[in-house]
Amino acid sequence: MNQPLTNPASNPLTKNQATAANAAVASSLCRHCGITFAPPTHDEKASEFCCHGCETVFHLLKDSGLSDFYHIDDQVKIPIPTASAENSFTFLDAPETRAKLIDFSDGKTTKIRFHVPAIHCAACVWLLEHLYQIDARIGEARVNLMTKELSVSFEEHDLRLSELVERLNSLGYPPKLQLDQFDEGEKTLGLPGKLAIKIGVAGFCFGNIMLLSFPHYLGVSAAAKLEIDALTRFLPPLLTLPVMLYSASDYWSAAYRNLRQSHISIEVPIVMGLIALFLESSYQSLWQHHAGYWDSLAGLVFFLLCGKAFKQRTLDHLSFDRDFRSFFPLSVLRRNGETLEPVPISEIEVGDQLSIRNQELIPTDGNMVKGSGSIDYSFVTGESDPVSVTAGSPIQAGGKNLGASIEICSTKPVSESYLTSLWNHHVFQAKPSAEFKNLTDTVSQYFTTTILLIASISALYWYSVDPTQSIRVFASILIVACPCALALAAPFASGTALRLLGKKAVHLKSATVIEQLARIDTIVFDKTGTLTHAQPRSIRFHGAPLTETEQHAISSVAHHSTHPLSITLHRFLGEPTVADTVSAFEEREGRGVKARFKDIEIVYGNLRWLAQNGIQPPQAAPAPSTTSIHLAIDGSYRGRFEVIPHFRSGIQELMTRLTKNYALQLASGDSDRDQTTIRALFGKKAELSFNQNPYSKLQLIEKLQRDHKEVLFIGDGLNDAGALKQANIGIALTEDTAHFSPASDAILDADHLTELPRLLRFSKATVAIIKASFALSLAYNVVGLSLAATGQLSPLIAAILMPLSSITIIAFSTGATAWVARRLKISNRQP
Amino acid sequence: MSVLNLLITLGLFVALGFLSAFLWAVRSGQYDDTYTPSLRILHDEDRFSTKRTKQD
Repeated sequence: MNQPLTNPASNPLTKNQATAANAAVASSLCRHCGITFAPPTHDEKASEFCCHGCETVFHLLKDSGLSDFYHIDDQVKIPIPTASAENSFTFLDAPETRAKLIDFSDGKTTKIRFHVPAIHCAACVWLLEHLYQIDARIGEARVNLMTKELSVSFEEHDLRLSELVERLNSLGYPPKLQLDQFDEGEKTLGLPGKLAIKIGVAGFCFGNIMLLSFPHYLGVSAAAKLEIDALTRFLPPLLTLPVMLYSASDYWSAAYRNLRQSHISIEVPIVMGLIALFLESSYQSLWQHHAGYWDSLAGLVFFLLCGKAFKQRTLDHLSFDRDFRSFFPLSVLRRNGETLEPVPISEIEVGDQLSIRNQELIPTDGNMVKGSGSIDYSFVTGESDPVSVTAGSPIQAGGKNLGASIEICSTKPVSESYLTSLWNHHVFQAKPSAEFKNLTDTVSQYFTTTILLIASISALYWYSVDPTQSIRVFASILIVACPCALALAAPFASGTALRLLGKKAVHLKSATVIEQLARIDTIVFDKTGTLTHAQPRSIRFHGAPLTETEQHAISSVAHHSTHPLSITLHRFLGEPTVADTVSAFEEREGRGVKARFKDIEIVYGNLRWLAQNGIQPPQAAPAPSTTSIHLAIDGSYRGRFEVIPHFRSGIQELMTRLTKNYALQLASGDSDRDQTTIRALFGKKAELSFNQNPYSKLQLIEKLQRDHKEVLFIGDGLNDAGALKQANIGIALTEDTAHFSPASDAILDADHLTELPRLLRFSKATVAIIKASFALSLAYNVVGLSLAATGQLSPLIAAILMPLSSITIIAFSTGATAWVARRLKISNRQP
Repeated sequence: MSVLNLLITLGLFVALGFLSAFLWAVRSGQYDDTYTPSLRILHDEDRFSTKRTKQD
């Protein structure tokens, strides 16, 4: 019925891969979430649910009379996260946290808005809006599917905030509670709302003034004959006042701001035209009994505001300016004597002992005090292999714990950790405004000077011929030269481009990004997560082929280890039939694994681990160009598994196409073990940098910019955040647009990376269209100017010429952009 | 005085009425979400449950 807005399979809550892998054995569909799962064979009665969570929710919905949930939409429902007693939200009930989260409270009823990323279909809307049937303490709930927002009202005394969040979590709709959300100000009428009101007022005045001016176009006598002279003379100026003072207020303030910085933007000639129009019209209609240019004035503002509205796109569900706080969990477990209590991460103090569970991010720098395991720093450094840690090891913020729970003792508060210190770099401090001078402003600078020059010369000329006409000519030149069409060209062309790209899962931050993209000459890529898939890597075995029994043996052993390489190995070799015959299992972090499967002894890991177990490889080991797992069975060396970084499909073609027009570079946080593969991809000329940390990536971009290069950086992780910000254009690659991505100018769906050349060509074409529109609007100005300079510009001609020029420009820029998009196959939608 | 003057004034007030209706609609959030209500209308109202009517 409806297209899901996000792919449910990419949902972060998706069941662990083990269930999916088991599916081949014997599968059935879960009655709640629709996931294929393997029913446990030892169970006495066949289960209809993949997990206990789903079963609970199913019965809960049935008992509440909400079984319709399963009939509304055929989409896969949301899997329920395995219930965990540790998932406590009690910290939400602390008065200060609570006050920051809720929207409104009168002491009795509380209203709160949540961002719930899991909302994706009509059934979600239905279920969440019927929450009161599940829990009578919950009042009205409203869902906005586009922004994935849920607003709920509830009685403060009956229901605690933590209980509400727990309820949502148990249904499979965990709200995303973020620290930066806490800092949001009062909810006011947003920018689009304000603009809509301004357009409404301008449109109302424009329409009525046009009606009232009509009799004047038929000659003053027509109005006089109908005895409506007084109304048609005094109402238009009255109706123009709200347009001038309210609707056009942004132009006044922008022009004033720019003039103070002695910088001429497009607003300056617009405001000049508005003033000239207003004064000239007042003089004409109040003293001369003529019509005046009131309708042109109101129409001008109306069209300009429409252009502004067109340029804006509501991208509520995407956020381009996220900083480190968005990446961290809201709370962390702190040890308090014998118990663990959840605390907001902003309250972590130096010396606190924090418990980090499997798959959790480490919020601050610290020292390991308890447990041992491996930390995945790929998000921070780009290094894809996890680092093993033991008690006493220093731990940096941003790493992800793999394996059993560990405890760390914090050495710095969150705001001063290594990771967050990146955000204190000056690129993040500088205000990102007005660095880039867009095309319209560049043109309007010359435009304004030229117009003032022409107006003065004509005025001087007329002064010598007929001094009474001099001022009128000066005014009418400013009027006709008012760059309405010029101001509309870029918003409509780039607005159309933005919209079309949005359909292709390319989301640009603003319309100027298109103009900047067209200037790019150097492209810098990140490796991990950008050129390669973040996860599954493929494996190739070098050595004598393994028998089926041996493969089963290795797979069974690998299944006992939580190390990512073991998991990859296990996945590669396939599911063993029986897994519980492994004995004498021994694993050394960062070395390898040794175990017995039935009577076969398996040892795998690095060469040092093999040597430690008395096994020597037959010849001198080859230089490790890629990650390798060496294998020995029953004490003899059998070969090595080569872990091949999984490059995204189409990368080779992408690179070949890009090398023709752009200088390519690589900035990877990873080691250079894949250098040969990458060199082949990038070609001979490209500069490859490995072992880059976030700072050196940023400096690399700075260096390129000092050489007057226009740099595009494409990356995905936190380690790229600085480079993304520093580059002229930073594109963040993401697997799931609803998921997090670092601050950037554009967000690109990872599967569409190969569309990059097309995107760059499209941006160039759009800029060409904007330039053509400028030429067209200048042509109109020349016609108007020649009329004005010879003193022939009547209000009637102005009233026709002004809307005509605006509408043709709008039609041309929108139409041409859409046409180019179709030619470049950016929009391949069927009509 | 022509009757047209009266009609023009009346017309203007009617138009002002519509303008204020538009302003009210924008301010009260009628345009905030233009998609979800189209789904909401497809849902049957509480077919199974007669427990309680919707709260406001």
